[in-house]
Amino acid sequence: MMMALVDSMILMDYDNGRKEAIDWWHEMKDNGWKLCLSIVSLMERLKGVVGFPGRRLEVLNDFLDRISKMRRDRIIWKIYPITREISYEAYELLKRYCERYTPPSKGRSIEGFICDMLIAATAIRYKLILYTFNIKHFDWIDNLNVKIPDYSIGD
Amino acid sequence: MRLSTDEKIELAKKIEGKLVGITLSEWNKWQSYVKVYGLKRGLEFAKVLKDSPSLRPGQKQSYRTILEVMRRYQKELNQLSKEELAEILGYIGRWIVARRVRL
Repeated sequence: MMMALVDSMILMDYDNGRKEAIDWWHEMKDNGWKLCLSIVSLMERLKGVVGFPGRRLEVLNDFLDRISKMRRDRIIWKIYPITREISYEAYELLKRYCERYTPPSKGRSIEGFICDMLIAATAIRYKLILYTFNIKHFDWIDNLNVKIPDYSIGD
Repeated sequence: MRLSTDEKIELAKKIEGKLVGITLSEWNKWQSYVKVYGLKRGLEFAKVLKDSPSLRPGQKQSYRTILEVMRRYQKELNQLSKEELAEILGYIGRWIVARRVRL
């Protein structure tokens, strides 16, 4: 079974109606891939969704309805929660990173980096390929299989 | 049934919020078809295209979601005049554009 974890940027492109992302996602699905998300990606996406025009509560409920529909239709195969093992793994990853490099400062999205470590830990824990455009946050992790999706947004 | 502009925008937002994996280009094509041939034939058109082997997977997803969501609102939309329906479909297109802003 071919399973992959998709990061929040790809989810954002899909939900924003970017045809390149929607094509990529459904081509992957048609080719037998089971595309999954981390709950962290959903949390990251919530921040973007509240910026949509319209009443905030309705906009959020619409987004959550769309995610539920994607789950029912198996467009999203699974949404992984943060377990104790994943949080420990993410902690170890961040520790390893700090041993080798200087982490981004507070002003330069250390929070985003911590989210990425939780996503990486999820991919490692469940042996999933991680699809992301933010390759430099992940490519130093030896036991993680990271790929860039082969689409780009035209405009 | 006559709707005010605010009510039309409201209904358009409600419909747009339910559309999963919709692209603006497929929406525009579909709404142009509906303007000419009406909603009933528009839904039949979407039904054919959602499984069409000549379309890319993303395009098929757009027609799947159009068919599912617009069927749900069919009764409500059938009560509108042709002009009102066209206006609401246009507003939905605008809401789809608004969703595309990268935040």
